[in-house]
Amino acid sequence: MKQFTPSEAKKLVKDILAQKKQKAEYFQAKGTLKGFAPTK
Amino acid sequence: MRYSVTEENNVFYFETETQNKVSVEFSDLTSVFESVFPIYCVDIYRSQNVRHANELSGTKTRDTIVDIIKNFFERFNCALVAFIDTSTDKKGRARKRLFKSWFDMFATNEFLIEPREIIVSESKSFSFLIIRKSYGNAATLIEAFDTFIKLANESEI
Repeated sequence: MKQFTPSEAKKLVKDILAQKKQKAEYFQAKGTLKGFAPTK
Repeated sequence: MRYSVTEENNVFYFETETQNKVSVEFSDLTSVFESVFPIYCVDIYRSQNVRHANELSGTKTRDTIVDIIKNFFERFNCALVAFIDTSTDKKGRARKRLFKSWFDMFATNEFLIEPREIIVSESKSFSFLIIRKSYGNAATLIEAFDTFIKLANESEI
């Protein structure tokens, strides 16, 4: 298992939640996750 | 009673009788965690119909989602993590309770569900680890998950 530093662990969780938010918006708009491309 | 489900690349879709669309997505985080044991993140998305009408049946959506997740466990010998976002609205705590209650209904004998609070940008979010009790390495996975959450929750210097 990867030995995360605190900043790496924080960044991973933030990235996961940010992508979740983008996907939720995409799904609401399109009704599918097909074609989803995350924007940074 | 279950809704009819379609699948595409580990994303499962169904539509309720009130035309709300739901997707259950499994993302492989094994390489991100550099784990020898498969770890997937499960996310549930729901697109609200224009009338904002909820489902007529109280349990059909729940039962369909739980079935999708149980079937995923049947297919893959893995651990699941879930992160509940609280940034979009104030329903994070309610989602956490709902998610845990769904799993408590079927998970007590077969699965362990470990909820943990996680602080992101000074706001409280929620995370879960879900694993089969029968996994030989269940305790090790819980310990690794706890270590990860502890690191993520450390105060920024």
